[in-house]
Amino acid sequence: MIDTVYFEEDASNYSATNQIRLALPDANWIPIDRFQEIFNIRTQNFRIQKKNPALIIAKKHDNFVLPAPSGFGMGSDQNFYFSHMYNCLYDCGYCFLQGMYSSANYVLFVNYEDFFEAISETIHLHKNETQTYYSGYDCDSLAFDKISHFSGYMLNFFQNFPEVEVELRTKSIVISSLLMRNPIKNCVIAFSLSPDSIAKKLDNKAPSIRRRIKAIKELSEKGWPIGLRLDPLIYTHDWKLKYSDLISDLMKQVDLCNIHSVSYGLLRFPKRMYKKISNLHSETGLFAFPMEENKDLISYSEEIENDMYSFIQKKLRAYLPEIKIFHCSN
Amino acid sequence: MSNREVNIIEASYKKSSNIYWTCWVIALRAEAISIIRLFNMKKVETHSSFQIYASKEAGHALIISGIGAIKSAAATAYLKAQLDIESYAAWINLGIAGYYKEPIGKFFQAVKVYSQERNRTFFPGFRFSKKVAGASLLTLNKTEKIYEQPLLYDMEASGFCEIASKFSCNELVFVFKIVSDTPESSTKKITGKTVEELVEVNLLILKGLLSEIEKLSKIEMNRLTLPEEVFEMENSINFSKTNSHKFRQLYKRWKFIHPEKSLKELNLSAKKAKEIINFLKKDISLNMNSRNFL
Ligand code: SF4
Repeated sequence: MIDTVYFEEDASNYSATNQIRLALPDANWIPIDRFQEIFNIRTQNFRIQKKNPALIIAKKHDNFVLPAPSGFGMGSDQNFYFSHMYNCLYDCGYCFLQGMYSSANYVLFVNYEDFFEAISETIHLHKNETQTYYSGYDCDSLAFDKISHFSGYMLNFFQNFPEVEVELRTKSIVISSLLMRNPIKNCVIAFSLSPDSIAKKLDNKAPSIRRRIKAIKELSEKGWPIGLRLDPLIYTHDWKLKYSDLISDLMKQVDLCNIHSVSYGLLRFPKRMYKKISNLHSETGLFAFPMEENKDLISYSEEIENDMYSFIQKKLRAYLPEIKIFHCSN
Repeated sequence: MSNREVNIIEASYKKSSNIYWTCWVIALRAEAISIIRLFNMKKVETHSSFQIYASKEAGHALIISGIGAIKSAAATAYLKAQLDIESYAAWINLGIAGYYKEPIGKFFQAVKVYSQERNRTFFPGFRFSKKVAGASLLTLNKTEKIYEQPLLYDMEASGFCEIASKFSCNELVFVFKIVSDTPESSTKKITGKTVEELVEVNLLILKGLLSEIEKLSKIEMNRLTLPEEVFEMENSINFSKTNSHKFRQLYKRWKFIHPEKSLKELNLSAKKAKEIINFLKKDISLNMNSRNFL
């Protein structure tokens, strides 16, 4: 799977690094000074690199916790995110990481303890407010877990802070470590979902929708709070039928009491990112579809937006109380 | 997009034949001779001491740089300028190298190249780890005799990487080395003939790599180039820079909706730039639901 690991010598003695050495014994391990010397090379081709990404093991030095972009939260006073990893095993056609980074190599920051220290300081700083922490903003929270084991460390940490909420956002079905432990009530496992035929075309390398729904069902039966993320909403000529089927399928299969929240948001990109990504994907239809610019965001026309939002809201309201339904606009 | 559509678009791309897909920068003639023969390259007349060989039919060009990183860098730049190499061409530095252990003749892709002298590190090329072993390489300005660290040792690669990666994307810059000397087998044993043989016995591996490299170059070409009809339209009508950008963006969308149509069929030559842009916009929105955009 991963044939080459570049590692910062500073990061070589962390327990996560040692675990990865055991998990990838046949990889070519190459020392580097700082991850940026390879990750930030200016003339990289993301699409070509994505055919065989290397793993870069690094130590993060600052910015462990950052405020989540406005429009990202789900009701808490304060929303933060943390990124123990850049890039993802999957290759979704609409993934904004392709516009954010010029490299498709995976960067894993192995000084997990430093993240948790920074998070506990932030929790303390905002102790009088409700707080949610998002993992998986610059990666998929669980997809790399067999190698990184990050989620285990993270859950151990957050179960000591029941007053704050943490969300693991994922398309992965690597859930055995979650099923093996008791559910943590302040930890939401949030799955990104699209109608099956759209996911088949766009969610490259990610598990099928059928398998994601199966994982959701297993986790919810075990008592884990579940988040459903219909984000991004993708327009097709028959989108109503597709999303209607997806929503009724989900609501049939998952115990509604265990649904923590459902959020939805249109396919959208910051202007500069859209330009970069569409240049990488000139052959795919997703970027051939006419989009419009609105306040530095590129998205579908207002007409499509209104149409899709009112339809999705109506569908969701048939199953869930308003308080569990969120519209993401960041 | 279906294969048929890809083929239609590919067929209309400009200059897709008779271009140099692969450019070789090689220090010694003995290292180059098997490659020159393999692609039936002919000498190109130049007004410099660099020797260039090329075959348009095969799509390969080669320059003999001489020994040293500076010469390798200069030769890379010279070849680019002399043959007007496109930015989707692959660049390959092939040569012999010292290694800390046997066997002689082992073929490597250098995945990290370091120059102590310039204090620069490069990470060239898409890694073909399934086909060939990867290793780190140290470029020195004199022959290594001690081989202290588990590395490849050469005298050119860093100079080559520094320049070639300015011409094509980093994934299309390759350093391939064949072990010629080790602590057990000194450089004294290397002759022109042994060098030729070392390359010759590795030709099969190289051929396998080249077919993969060509695929990558084509991906890059499709990303970077536009069909000839776009340039024809822009040359026949006065497009400002902004309008040309808008036109190109809309053209890609329009072509996605109508993969089999050409601009000529639209009879737009009498129209102004803005009118063409508006026409394409309208056509795209009218046909928005005629095609599955996924
Ligand atoms: S799962 Fe998320 S992070 Fe991974 S490729 Fe898809 S959109 Fe990007």
